[in-house]
Amino acid sequence: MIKMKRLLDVGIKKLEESILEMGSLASESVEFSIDSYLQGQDSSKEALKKSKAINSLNDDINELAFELIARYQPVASDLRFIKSCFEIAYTLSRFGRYAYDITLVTHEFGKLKKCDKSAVEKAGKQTIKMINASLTAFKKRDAKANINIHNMDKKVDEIYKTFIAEIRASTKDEDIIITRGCSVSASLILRYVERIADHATYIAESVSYIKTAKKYRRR
Amino acid sequence: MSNIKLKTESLNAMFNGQKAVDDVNLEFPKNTITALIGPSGCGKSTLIRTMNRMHELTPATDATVEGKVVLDNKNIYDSDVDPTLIRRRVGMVFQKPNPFPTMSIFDNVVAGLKLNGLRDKTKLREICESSLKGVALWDEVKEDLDKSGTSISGGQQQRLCIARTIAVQPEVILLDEPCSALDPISTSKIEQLLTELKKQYTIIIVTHNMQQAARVADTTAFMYLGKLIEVGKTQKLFENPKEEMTENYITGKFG
Ligand SMILES: Nc1ncnc2c1ncn2[C@@H]1O[C@H](COP(=O)(O)OP(=O)(O)OP(=O)(O)O)[C@@H](O)[C@H]1O
Ligand SMILES: [Mg+2]
Repeated sequence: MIKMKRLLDVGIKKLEESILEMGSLASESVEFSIDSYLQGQDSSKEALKKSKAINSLNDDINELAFELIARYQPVASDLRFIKSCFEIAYTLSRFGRYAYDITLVTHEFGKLKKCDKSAVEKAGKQTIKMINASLTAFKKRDAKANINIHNMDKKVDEIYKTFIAEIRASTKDEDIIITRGCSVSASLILRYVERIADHATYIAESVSYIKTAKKYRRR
Repeated sequence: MSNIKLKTESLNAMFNGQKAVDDVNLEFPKNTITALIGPSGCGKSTLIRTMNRMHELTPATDATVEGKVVLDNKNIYDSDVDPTLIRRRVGMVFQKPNPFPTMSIFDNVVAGLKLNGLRDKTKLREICESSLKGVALWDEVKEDLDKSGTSISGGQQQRLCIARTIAVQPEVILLDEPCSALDPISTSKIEQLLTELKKQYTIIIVTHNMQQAARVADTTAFMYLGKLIEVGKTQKLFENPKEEMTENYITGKFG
């Protein structure tokens, strides 16, 4: 059996390149945001710009992936590749957005000079390692890398859990424990709720797109 | 009771001793559509022609069969089986619409019934109408039943041929690339029709159109060089085929 270059392969190559470009932008923006926090710099404007650039690549990838489906009706590994590209591109666009969210913390709370930032530093380093490892896996189509990356994730989970536990352990004063617990928990939940609300708007925008073909930018 | 309507067992089909179908074992459950796909010359047509004993009628060659084709638990190649009866129970529709050119639309539909000795005019009319309705052609031709079978469009002719096939109430319908000469609208009508017909019949369709197989077939079988390479649920075969050869063929990396 001779393997020939197919028209679809040109599109698949282009998709792969776009994902990798998006991936390095996303990884870079996460690193940038964490560094900004560690150094007490408000970089929210730059981070927003990066997030927009990443979103725009996500749009391009969606367009191309749809075009390939419409034109070539791909099946088997081609179809699975394209399906994964949709998911990966969406995930990478979320990285850009989370990176922006990180910079908003400094924007809202100031430099936070007196805080112990070591947990964020550690978790950040590990997370960036994971992003890069997953992009390498994509590039090499390494079907087994997920096991290693899953293990790396356990370390990040651990840092988070330890940090929360230490909030309690750092003092014997019950009142302080309660106030801290209240503010940390409410901040976390409010942030999640606020994001869910944004996404609810996105759903309504997607519905509007069905009728009007007007595209809305994700924020 | 088994839900397998038809199956092949170690089936081989030869032209002058040359194998065109090589040890094929396939099962066709009742009321399902199975698509046969594979490159040109892989033996799809030969395989389905063994299923109603048409292979042995191939002119100008010594066409033989080894192994079994089991229809309702009976090997159709047993010596006590009448091949004409098998051809009545297992109908065939060909790539090119082939209505009998000298016959009217009406006579085309009831040709098989007349051949079987049915003479009752009212009965013939009834079956003609229900068969044409069955292929969604009745409304288009009911005023023109006396016109020649070739006076209608290609897509209509193909539906006429399917009506002719179902008029004799077969149990299995074989279709050999029935849409390859048709435009997309006629094609989609035939596809809708097939999904309707499977409620009553067991259907086997040969197609070169992957999307057609993906659209209509419950099961898809891939053949290569006379051999059955892979068979499975259509969605599974097109999303995640087991065999690399299937993957290469359906993704077009073959050639
Ligand atoms: N009448 C015949 N005499 C001799 N050999 C034949 C005859 N018909 C078909 N063959 C051979 O049998 C093999 C299978 O042919 P068959 O027509 O079954 O293939 P197919 O899969 O239906 O191909 P296609 O997709 O082109 O219709 C081929 O090698 C072909 O050359
Ligand atoms: Mg053929």
